[in-house]
Amino acid sequence: MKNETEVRAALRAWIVEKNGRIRPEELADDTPLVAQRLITSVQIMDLILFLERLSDQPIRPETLKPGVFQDINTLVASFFPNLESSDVERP
Amino acid sequence: MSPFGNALTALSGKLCEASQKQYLNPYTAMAWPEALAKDVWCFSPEWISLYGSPTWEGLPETAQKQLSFWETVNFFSLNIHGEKTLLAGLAKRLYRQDFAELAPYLHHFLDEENKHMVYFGRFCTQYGGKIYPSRSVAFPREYAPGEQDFLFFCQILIFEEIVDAYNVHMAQDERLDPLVRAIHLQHHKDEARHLAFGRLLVQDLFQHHGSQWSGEVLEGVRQHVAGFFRTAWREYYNPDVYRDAGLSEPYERMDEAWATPTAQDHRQTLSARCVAYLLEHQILVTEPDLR
Repeated sequence: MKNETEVRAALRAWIVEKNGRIRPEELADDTPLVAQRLITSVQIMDLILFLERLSDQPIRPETLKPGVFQDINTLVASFFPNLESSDVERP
Repeated sequence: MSPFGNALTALSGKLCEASQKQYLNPYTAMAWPEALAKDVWCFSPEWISLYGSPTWEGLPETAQKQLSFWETVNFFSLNIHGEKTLLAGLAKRLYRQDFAELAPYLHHFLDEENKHMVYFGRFCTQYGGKIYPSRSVAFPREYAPGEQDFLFFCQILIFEEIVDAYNVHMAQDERLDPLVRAIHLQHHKDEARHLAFGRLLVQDLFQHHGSQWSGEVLEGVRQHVAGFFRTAWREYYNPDVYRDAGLSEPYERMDEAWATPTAQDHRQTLSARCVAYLLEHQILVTEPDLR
């Protein structure tokens, strides 16, 4: 099971790779992903599959609440609620 | 001013006549056995997502046939999700002022899509005990004039072009279970009309609205269409299918299936006609990345 730091790093790396324009240092944990179109609706299926793999849990989009894809913080809170915490300062 | 040309309104009249002639009762159109025969193909083996992969080669034929059943449940499930979106979008536009002249055919379109879901849903629930959930999510956002209508119908066209290629192939494959073949055949008969309508509609919407979009909007539309093309294909590689077929590490099987050269060629081949259409009408200016 990954800890919180590893999960945040994995999410950041995925977003940077899929977006192709933003640099890792420009992406904070509260950077608005949807509002800034860093991820788009056609990328969500791949993101959900990535989150399933990372969390080892299936995700059913029809049960998701609005705002879960807002930023890295909401992704972690929504899909990894039982993570081992880490003492890393968040960007 | 209507965005639609004379060709589309004339075609829609002809399609209404054809739909009335082929009107069917989805509850009596097919024979539904209590259970499907065991040890039967439900999906053409060469079109199964994992075909050509090391995992496929290592499966005994009984396991391949079991996988073919779950691939069929997935294919029918993804059709249900696509058609739910379609029904919602068509209902929203029914009798809207700019779509008024197309309303008679939209009624048939709605009717036929609902009937498709009746038999897709029955197959999945009666024989598979489930409908696989969709992983698609749409974000609400602002659109340029005409952009939302165009994207809605263009996505439906791409989705139906891929689906129809499967329908045509499976309906003709004599190795498959007869009910599965009958569902594919009936779906194809209706989809042939929907596709003819969709091709002209998408063309008209793009010509009418696209010329008024800024370069930024046009670029965004093209990126979305290309991205949707890939997403439409991703649904054919479902880890839930591999799990239900008893395969270990379903996400790894998904990656393996997607990356298999046979599967890449399959996607390119089946997409070729639709990609050519999108390029011909300048909806896309480069081929979508389906690798």
